[in-house]
Amino acid sequence: MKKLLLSFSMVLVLLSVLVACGDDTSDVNGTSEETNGEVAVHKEGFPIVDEEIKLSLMAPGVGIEDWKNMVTLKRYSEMTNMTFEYITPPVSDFQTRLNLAFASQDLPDIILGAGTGNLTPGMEVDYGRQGVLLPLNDLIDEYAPNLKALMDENPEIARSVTTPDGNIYSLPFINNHPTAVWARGPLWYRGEWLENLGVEELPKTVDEFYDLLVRFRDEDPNNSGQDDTIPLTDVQMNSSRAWLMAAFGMKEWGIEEHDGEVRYAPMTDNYKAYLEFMNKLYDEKLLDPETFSQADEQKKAKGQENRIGLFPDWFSFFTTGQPEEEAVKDPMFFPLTSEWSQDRVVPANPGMVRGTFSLTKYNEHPEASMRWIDYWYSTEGRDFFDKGPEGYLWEANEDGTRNPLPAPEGFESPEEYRATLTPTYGITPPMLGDLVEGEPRSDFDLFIQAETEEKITPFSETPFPLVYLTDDEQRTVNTIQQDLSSYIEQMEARFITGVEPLSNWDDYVSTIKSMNVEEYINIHQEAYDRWAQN
Amino acid sequence: MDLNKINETKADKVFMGFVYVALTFALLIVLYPLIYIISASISDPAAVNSGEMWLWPKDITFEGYRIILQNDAIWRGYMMTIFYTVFGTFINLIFTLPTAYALSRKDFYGRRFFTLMFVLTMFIDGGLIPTYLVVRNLGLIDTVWAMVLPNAVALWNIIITRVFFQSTIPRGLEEAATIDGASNFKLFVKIIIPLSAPIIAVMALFYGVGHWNSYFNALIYLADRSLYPLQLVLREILVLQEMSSNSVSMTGGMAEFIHSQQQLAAIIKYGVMIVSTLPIIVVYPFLQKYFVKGVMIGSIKE
Repeated sequence: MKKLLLSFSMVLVLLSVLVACGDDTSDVNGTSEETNGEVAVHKEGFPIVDEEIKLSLMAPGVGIEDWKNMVTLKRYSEMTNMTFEYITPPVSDFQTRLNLAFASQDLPDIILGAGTGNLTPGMEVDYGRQGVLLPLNDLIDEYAPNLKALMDENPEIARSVTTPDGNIYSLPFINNHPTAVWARGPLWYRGEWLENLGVEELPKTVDEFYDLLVRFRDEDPNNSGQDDTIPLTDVQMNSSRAWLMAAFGMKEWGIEEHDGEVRYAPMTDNYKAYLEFMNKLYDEKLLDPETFSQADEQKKAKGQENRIGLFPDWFSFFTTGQPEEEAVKDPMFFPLTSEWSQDRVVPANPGMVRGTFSLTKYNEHPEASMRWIDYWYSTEGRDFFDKGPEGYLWEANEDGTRNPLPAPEGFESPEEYRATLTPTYGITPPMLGDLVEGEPRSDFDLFIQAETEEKITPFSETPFPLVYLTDDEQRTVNTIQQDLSSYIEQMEARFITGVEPLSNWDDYVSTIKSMNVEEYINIHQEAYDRWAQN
Repeated sequence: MDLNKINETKADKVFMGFVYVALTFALLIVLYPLIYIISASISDPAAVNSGEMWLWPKDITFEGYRIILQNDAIWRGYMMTIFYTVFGTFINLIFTLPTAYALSRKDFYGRRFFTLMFVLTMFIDGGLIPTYLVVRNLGLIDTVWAMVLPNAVALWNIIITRVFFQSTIPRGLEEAATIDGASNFKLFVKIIIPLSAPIIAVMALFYGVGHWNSYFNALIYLADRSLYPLQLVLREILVLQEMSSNSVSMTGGMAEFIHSQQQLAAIIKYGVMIVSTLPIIVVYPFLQKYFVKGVMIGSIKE
């Protein structure tokens, strides 16, 4: 009797769950279907619409100010006659909320600033095919003259955001900033150490590099009188790897392309040479013994104590803790050559971040939405959203240049104040990233630009273009990649620290092969060929 | 003149010696992290990160507490968390106690069926998305109700409470009250509740701590920042610290944002740990006597 009752109620519960799933979809999107779609959209000038319309917009929030209070968005609403309900979950957990929105179909009209990490290329392809995301191609042609002009100027843009079905489902952040070519933070030498050692010229080959690290270790470059120096440090090789691998002729710790040929770098002989070199650095204490155990904050603490000679970070002063004016003395790492790579190579950023602006099928005003965002791609619009209207962060001089204003009481820095004025802080916004016209540039800005132009730009190559995979390809790749990347990550640490001798290299390669790496490479080769044909 | 004193044998002394060593060791293990956090909260972050500060504060600074005290978002979160905890726990108790009492009565018609249905929910869970849709369609999204109504009862707590009622309230008492003319409602309010202080305290603590620590519901159901509880505000500040400012596809703006968040987090990290757990630590000793008793009682069945 008991058992019978139990199984009966189990069935009952299961049935009700199934029924609930079945008829749920029909009324789920009840809330967003109230406005009528018949609003005339002006093709140019402001306002965009005569009759006020309201849309919902979801974007990562950095937690400093509510979007509805930001002066740029308020003014832009007045200009365009378009108002928004802003949904801004914390950037730290944005992905959870976005996935939930897709899964429950409780979607906003616009998804802004998500970036590839949250709105992945796979999701674009998938939800685009299902019709959840709207194709934007025609809208761009008709309603986005500024973006269109950028795309005509640089065909790479259209190529990188067009999915295999020929549609564009998201707009990119287009970076024309002097640091746009940076794929990650560079390596920085401690300028003071170079000076103390009398180093005139930065190392340009692997051997010179090695010699300098030895001097960093032995010759007390920080004048502390103690044996406390760490020539090179990092947190798990995460940032310095790319720069050092490049010295051995590799561009990416994974899939990379050389003259149209796709390969998986961590199974090449170049990679073996890189591991050998790093193992040597580790053995001789040239590479920080705590590299694989420390966290970012410990690395920074060592930098602040003036104990490291070469380190990765976005800007050197993030690690050294020195003021910006001093940071111009810390030179950027110069790309190295070796017997494996006679040409200098620096892996470059494609200069774009995808997935920053998408419209969902619940959007009743796709035309107006497209016009709304197009302004962000114009010079005037991008300056407006970057630095806000006049009188907050800057005021105009008579000659048209800009005079920066100090941050008001209660703000630690102008950047923090900026975060309360405009949403383009801390996220990848759908806009044109560039210098603001007429704004004075600090010595440090100029230093960064000069270093970039000397040491990165001439040697930069994109490791692998921004491609899209089809659904099936994406699924296969995800499965293989997961095993593969955790294995090579683990093995890299073991080889470098010497726990695993390099005599086991062949075993390592055959393990990688057994993880279906051939298929992984083939899929990327096909995707590359598709991309190259466009 | 200690009459109770019995001379300890050698074996006893050795045994006691071991006990004291073991206890001291255990004390150190639990005490050290506490002292460390307190010291770290008033030390210079550089000293903490480099490992120079390992027990007592070094380069004492109250900068972290200053920033915490000045941060509006943290205070607003604090107020909301206190509200959710008090109000949410109240709702939890209102639902848990009568339910458990009803299920504890042998003369409750359909008791087996209801118990079974409750227990089923332990094994079959709607999952995140269906639950979200229910909450959404009830119109609770972005209201304080989303923080207190879902999870209004926890089955496990109902069971503990039910066992308490069954094992500590004699059936005879209920009968006596009924003979004196008490209705079931009056019986519950006037007799059962006053006798149940230990279990109410324990339940309040269980639920209260749960509310105090929860952030996930807030993350999913709330859009309005002014409704965020403390834990979500802290999470916003602290999680980014884990991200290196060096991951791929970073732009300059993002790198600077993360760097500034990391600096902030480094200063306030240990301070907020103390500030956010202090209320619970303060309340705990007052409930602790019930806590021990309550759990003990629940575990023994007649």
